[in-house]
Amino acid sequence: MVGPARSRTNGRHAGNRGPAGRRFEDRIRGVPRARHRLHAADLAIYGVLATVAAVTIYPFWNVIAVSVSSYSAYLENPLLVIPREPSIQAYRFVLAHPLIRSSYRNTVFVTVAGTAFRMILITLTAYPLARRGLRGKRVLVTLLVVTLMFNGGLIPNFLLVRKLGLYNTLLALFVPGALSAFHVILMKSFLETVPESLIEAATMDGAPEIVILARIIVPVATPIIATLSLFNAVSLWNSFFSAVVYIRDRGLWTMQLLLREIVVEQTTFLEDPTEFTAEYTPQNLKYGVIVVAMLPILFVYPFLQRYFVKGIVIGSVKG
Amino acid sequence: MKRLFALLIVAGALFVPAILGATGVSEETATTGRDTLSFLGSWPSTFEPEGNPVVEYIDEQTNIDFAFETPANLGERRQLVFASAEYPDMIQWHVSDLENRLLLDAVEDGIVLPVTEEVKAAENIQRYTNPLSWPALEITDDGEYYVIPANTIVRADGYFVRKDWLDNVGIELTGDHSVTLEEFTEILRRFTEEDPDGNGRDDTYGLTFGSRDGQLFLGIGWPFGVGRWAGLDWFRSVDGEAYPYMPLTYAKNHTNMIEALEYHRMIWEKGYIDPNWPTNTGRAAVDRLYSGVVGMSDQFGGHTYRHLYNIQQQNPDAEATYITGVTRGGPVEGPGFGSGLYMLHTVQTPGKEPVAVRWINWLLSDEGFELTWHGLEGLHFTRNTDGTRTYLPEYDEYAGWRTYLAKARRYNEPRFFMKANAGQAAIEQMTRWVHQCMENVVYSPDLGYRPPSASTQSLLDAKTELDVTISKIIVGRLPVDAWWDALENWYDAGGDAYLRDMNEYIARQE
Repeated sequence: MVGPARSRTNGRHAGNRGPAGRRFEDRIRGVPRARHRLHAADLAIYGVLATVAAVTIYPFWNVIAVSVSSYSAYLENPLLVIPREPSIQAYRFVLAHPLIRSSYRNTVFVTVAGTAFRMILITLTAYPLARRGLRGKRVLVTLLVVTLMFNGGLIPNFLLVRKLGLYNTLLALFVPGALSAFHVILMKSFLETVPESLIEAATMDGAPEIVILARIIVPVATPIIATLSLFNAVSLWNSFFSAVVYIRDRGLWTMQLLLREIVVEQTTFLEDPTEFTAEYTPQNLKYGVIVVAMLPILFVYPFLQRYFVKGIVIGSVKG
Repeated sequence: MKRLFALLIVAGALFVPAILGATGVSEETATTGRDTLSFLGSWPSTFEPEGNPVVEYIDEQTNIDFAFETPANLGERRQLVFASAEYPDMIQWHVSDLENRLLLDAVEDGIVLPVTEEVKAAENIQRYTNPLSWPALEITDDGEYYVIPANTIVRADGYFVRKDWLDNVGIELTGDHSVTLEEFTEILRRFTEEDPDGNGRDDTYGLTFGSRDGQLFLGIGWPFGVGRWAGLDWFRSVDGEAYPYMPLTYAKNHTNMIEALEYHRMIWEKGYIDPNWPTNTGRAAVDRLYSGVVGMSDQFGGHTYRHLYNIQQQNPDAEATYITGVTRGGPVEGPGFGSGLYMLHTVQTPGKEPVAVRWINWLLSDEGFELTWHGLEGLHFTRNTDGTRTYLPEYDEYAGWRTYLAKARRYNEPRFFMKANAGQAAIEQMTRWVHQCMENVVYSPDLGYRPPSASTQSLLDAKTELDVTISKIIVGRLPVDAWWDALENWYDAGGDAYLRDMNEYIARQE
């Protein structure tokens, strides 16, 4: 009689146990664990991680605290953690800037439309490459990988964008380079883990490829889609250099471009001071602009974080 | 179904860009009888040329329809303009671009056009351009001018000083407000040790400076004859050195640099200088002044009352004055770099040379100067019956971009750089100080020239090493004598060739 092979250790292999002797299977099943005493090593690890976290969070916290404090409070203590002499002057300054609304609108448009556009391209490219039996697959993948290694450079890209009629349009900020070879490979790696039997079953039911992609593949690929969407959204939101190169009209400036102009405008030490006949923009007002620029990403990140963590390793898990 | 889907994909690829695309810039249109001029230059983010009454006024006065391009980064935009070969009529450059290969190649290739006849015939450009600037404009050997000059005022800036602190410690500035080095040091000491703000706490310092990437420089170097600005060499006529003209910074047989280093080290060790000096990047030094931690800072004299206004937001009792110079005996001599040039303008479109020069010439006229300093009557000020002006709140907003609008300034008119609504008495006082600072200038005879030997990597590295050595000596991490070793390395790295080339250039100018 043939039956399932039994492990000689019956699952009690020493390598499956954690520091408290719990089996790996028990830990992931949420089986209550035995009390665990903190060792010196644990304390050291927690201490280091807490320090790193504090050092990482502090600059953000300082910017937020200063942005809601008065300039006098900032002068007394530039290293504020707790806001002093609360003031919304910074945010009034931000809202009063003539370019703030247009730049915000442009950035939101580029981020949303750009992410959607890129994800559609990435998915449509990765799906056929992930299917078995695609003729010429190796050639196509090679062509894709080559683009990872070579780039035309700034001037050829600029000339190409002009020739395509995209210069001085928001499309220039997300259409060139929309299909990232790296992201296609990540997506392809994930889609290769989708059981072929799922697709075969749908095919036998008469579903066309587009329906298979839309109703089966995309829902299954939600983690990788969410991850890559987040990567692209953050990248597009923070995009600065493309805007410098391809945008001419101020009405099409993005937030990062405006932010740079406001923050850098009056801070160049070696610039001839005679040029600055206006009042200096106090630091707390500049910090208000920084907070406004980073707020949307801060709000979106927590909702997509679970996908982000999962998606980081998703392309590397096989079988 | 498949065919329908394929059609949808193609249609989407064609129409989506059309739906999502934004419009480009409207083409400039020529109005009958008026000239047009497209201009690429630097502007602040708050400047909006469309519907701007000041721009419209200039359009009307000059009979030019302007199309201002307002890029985020002028340097990058210039590179791309020349790469794409689609040139605006006129482009703004910085004086440092006189050695920029982009500009020089554009001149050689005939892209940038000569403006010699027009500039020579422009009365205001001739009258209000620093005479020293003209030789610097000859960037080719054919005797032609390829750039329209725009000056700034050349002055050896002094120090903004808290007058209320001086009163509290019993010091009064007299005469032309210059002081000896001993008097200057005594002011620093009293500001640091004698509670000048009267708050009963030992929380003040004499002086602050900014730093560049953590590097300290000799902010009080000029009484020692070694200049003050990091990276700029103040050539002087010297005896007993390898070359007739040398910055005393690089002198092997003079001890000016050693004395300057010793002085800065002394005031650092005694705590007379703001301990935040190494981290005062950007405008952090100004923040220290505004917060009332320090009593002095090296600032342009024409901004004295602007700084005072900001200090008074924290301390309403603050008062301000200005030290115009520091000397170790004899007349005050301060470094003057370059030839007074600040901006340059080039013309790329044939036929636009007279239009461009006409605009710049108008900006230097009495009418143009009045506009760029005071603004528009009715919008920025009203005229009183006695002829004086009352400034409106809109003037402060105009002050944020009027210096950008003034693409040329009078080289001998410091009032332009002061806010016109500072008050007549304040303007007169600041003008006296700035004029004194202008008179204190001893020009470096190179007039801003830099030979190719100044840009070799080894020399740049050695210069960085000199700057690091200065910083370390000041804070006590190296002995003062370490300067000589660093200087020797600088000579070996190409410093000698640099000095030789500079002396050859100066000799040619003479």
